[in-house]
Amino acid sequence: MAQYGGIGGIGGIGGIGGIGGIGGMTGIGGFLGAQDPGGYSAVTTHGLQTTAEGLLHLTMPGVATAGTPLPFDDTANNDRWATWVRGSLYVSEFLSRVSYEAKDTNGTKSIALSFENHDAVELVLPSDALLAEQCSHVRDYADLRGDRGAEIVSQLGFPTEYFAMILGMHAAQHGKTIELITATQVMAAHVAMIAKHALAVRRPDQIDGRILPMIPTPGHGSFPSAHATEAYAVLTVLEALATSWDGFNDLENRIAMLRGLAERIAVNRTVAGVHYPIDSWAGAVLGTAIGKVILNIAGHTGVPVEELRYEPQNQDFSDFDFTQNGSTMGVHICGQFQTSAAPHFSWLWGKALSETQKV
Amino acid sequence: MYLKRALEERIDRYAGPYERWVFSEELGRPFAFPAIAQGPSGYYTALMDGDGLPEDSEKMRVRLPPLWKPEHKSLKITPFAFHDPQMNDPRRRVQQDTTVARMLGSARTRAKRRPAAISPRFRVNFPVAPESWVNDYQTGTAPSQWTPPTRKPKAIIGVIDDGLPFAHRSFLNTDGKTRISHCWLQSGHATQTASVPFGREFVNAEIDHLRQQFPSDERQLYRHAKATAPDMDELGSHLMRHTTHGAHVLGLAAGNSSLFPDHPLEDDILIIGVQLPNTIAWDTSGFGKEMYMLSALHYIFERARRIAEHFQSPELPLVVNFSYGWSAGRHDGNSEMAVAIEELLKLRREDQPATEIVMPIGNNFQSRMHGRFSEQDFDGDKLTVQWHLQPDDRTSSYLEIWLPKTLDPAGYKVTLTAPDRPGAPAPTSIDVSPDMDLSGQDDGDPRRFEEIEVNGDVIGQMSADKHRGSRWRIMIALIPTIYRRDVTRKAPSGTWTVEVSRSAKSEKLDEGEDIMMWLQRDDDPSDLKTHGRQSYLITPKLPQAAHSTPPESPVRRYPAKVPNVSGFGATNAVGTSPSTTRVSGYVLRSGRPSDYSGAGGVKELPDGSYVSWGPQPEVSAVTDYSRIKPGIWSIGTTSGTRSKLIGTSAAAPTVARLMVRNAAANRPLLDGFGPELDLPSTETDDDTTLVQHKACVGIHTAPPVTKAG
Repeated sequence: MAQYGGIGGIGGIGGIGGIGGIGGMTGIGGFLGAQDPGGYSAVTTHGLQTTAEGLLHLTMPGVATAGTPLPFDDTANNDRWATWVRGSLYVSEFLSRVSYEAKDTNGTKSIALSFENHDAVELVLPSDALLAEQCSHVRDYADLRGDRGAEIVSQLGFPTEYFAMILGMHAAQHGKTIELITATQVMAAHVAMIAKHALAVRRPDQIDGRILPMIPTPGHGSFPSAHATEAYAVLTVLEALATSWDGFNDLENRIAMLRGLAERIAVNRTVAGVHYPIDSWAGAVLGTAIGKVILNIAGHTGVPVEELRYEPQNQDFSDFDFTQNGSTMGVHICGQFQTSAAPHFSWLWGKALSETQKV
Repeated sequence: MYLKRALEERIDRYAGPYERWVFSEELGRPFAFPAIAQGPSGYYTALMDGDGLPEDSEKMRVRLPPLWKPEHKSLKITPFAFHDPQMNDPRRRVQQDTTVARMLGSARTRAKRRPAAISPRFRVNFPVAPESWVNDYQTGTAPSQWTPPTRKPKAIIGVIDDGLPFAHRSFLNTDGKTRISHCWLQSGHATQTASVPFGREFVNAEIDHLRQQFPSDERQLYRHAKATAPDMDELGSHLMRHTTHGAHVLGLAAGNSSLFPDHPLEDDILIIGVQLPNTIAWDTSGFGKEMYMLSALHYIFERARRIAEHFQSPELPLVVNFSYGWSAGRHDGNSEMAVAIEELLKLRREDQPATEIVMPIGNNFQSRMHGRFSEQDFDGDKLTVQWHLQPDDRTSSYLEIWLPKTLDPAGYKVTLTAPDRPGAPAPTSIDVSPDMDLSGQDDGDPRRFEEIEVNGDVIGQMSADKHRGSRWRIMIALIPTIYRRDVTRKAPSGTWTVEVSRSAKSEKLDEGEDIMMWLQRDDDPSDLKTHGRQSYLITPKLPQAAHSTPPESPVRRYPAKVPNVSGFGATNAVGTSPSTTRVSGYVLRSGRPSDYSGAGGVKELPDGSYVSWGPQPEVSAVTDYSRIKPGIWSIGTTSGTRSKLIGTSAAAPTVARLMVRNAAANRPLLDGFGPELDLPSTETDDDTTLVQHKACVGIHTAPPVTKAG
């Protein structure tokens, strides 16, 4: 089921899933087909036609009366559009601002990603020797497969349910928050794929036959981890959203758990045997930057995007090290920037903000 | 082929059959715990069996762990660690058995110079990992950061186990400080200077400081404290798991949580913990662990004394839970561990009667791991028993045969015949008599060894030794039943035949005397990835007669006649001292003994009546809620989690918890316990059955302490 990432879509029958979170969809799949009715069944089509034949004699002949126009080029229409259509709008709004350069500076290969021509993230290609060293971490983590099997298998797609659990979310009350999570995951996945393509790092099971992954190894490079990128991007966005909601009495606990969840989703991929710890480092760096970019273009001010460079070293990954010891473990802050709001993300952010439950 | 060593390099001159097997490359070493199989460090541990203390020699430096003993008393059994001071780098891999033999030889020579009733005997244990060896061991000192509680504690609970989550919230007092006074991780990452010879000791103030540093991330706390290390086999990263055996047991014994609502531990009951190396649970032999276990007991007693001394108090009430064990051994109270435990309990009770060591009875009632044979079971001068080895068993299998203490074994021999298949070894026999080459020099117990070979490769070892000079044992060790990488030998799986035979002139078994057999456990309860598979005994006359199928009726546990191979007598071989509190398990909903819960020995007298023999359980405690909800709840590794464990390991800490609460409140230790469990209505109500029932449930019943659910 889940390995067929990219072609999503239970969509078609309104109301059932369609937007993110239904396991099994990764990459761009989160939006594809959502609220797209497709065609009717042959019987329904036929029935509609015979009904039309039966009803038209009840109407009067003559020209139709003119209607009123919809707002022109206006996000006020967004609620009218099917979810997958908004998905297209988010993707084009975000990706039109992204560019990248694959660099080779005196033999040091890296990918530099920029956003509206601001340098955002640079990831340095790990050496083959480092990858081999990292395999011992991957083997050690296999000990936790018994504990984490259910999480690993149900997190093959976007693990939206896990975030929803922490924020007490329900589809009826948090439709746009779920859409914001999906949008964030989709943007993160796209950017991660660009970086993975450029850096082209082999998966651990190709380096070390003893890793024996418990899930299918995905068909893209190892570094950075897209799961870590998505999880840290979602964490960054949800931390700001939940704080802005001002709706929980125990916000501190929930944010600590969101952070713990982002770490756990990243590490679970190492437990499964498909990622090195440095992939999680790179993903956490990239995802944090993407999350902040999304907050910026959503018009949420006061969160500058730190310009980060990651040079991988042979370290295990934990959120504690990422937040407390990053500077000694390869993460360098090279500057910061802010960028202006864009219409569709701003619209979505505003809708999500209004979903506070004011507990 | 087993290569002949020079006399001073023969480990079997100084140590027992398990040491010879586990330390010798051509024998069982490639199949031992990974740290041993690869060739361990040069830091060893051992027990000395004999008066006095082991001393330094030019070949060996001795370290005594924190020992508890009253002044002017000498211990019969002393745990110690040692290493070769000449060795430039103790981290280098050594050829085990010969090095150890040379060192022990030198220690023995020194010890023999002193006047003593019996010259000492050694049992070599598993080595200490180099990362765990403390460079500057401050013998006899108090850990510097220990902070005394504001009031004198009323009692102390000790817990010896694996994977102890010492920073867990369940162990905080009402002020938010830890109730864990001292906690020794025997395979922990050593600090430069310490009051323990190896491993890492955490005391209360250090644990509180760690909790302040990491108020909301316990896994990071353990990583930071180096309490988890995937690259150290003996420590491992088990605290990263959802639960561990030790988390469950420590929680049940001493945790405060909503899981244990009715029996909280007050602030004035302190906790002393010891985390054993993973080797202890990994290894399936009856060897290698006593030093760690016994030093753990001494450590708890010693630190408890320091706490009492701080308050200028006599010894405080102390209950130690020790949910560990193995299955083969003498079961007569005369093994090294039984003697040492009895000695500790007796001596401390002179000062403080409320001193208890609580242990589980074991989980082998249905496992066919014990046999008992009297003269009637001989066919002429032959006794035949079958031993079934399962395929794909990746650890060594061990069978111990114990002759009656009073029997003169002249003319007795044991013959092992492999399953009948191509490539199987020829039958191998061993005489039950001393090999004069080994025993002529007064080097410990009389003993003899034979190897079982296939095409020149050793696949097994037979030994006969007069254990501790008092009882003959025949031990058979076989290598795994599956090939392992770079090892071109394996033992055939299938049914092996063990024949005890004797000459016509040999002494026969006295009435009431039995030949006893026990198998060592060969499973992996803590999921350490040993990949062992349990072998079992079969009596040829009654191949189906064991307890895996209940007798006569599907709901009946007690047969009219107890067969030779049965669960009665299959008890934890470590908890056999008279003063140990042995705990069996029962099912809460039905009030019946748990199917697996071990039972004391019973036997039939010539008049057809039944009596018990050997160690018996004293108390039953809940191990399962019901047949369809096995196990009971306790905490998991991190705060706020819970986990289930099935087995008598969880029964013992229930009893320890209730006892220490009673001790702190000055009540009798078994206050609040009920009488023995009723005989289930489905059993025949006769004397034979009642003897069996008592052997299963003991004479007291503990109320449940964990909330059902």
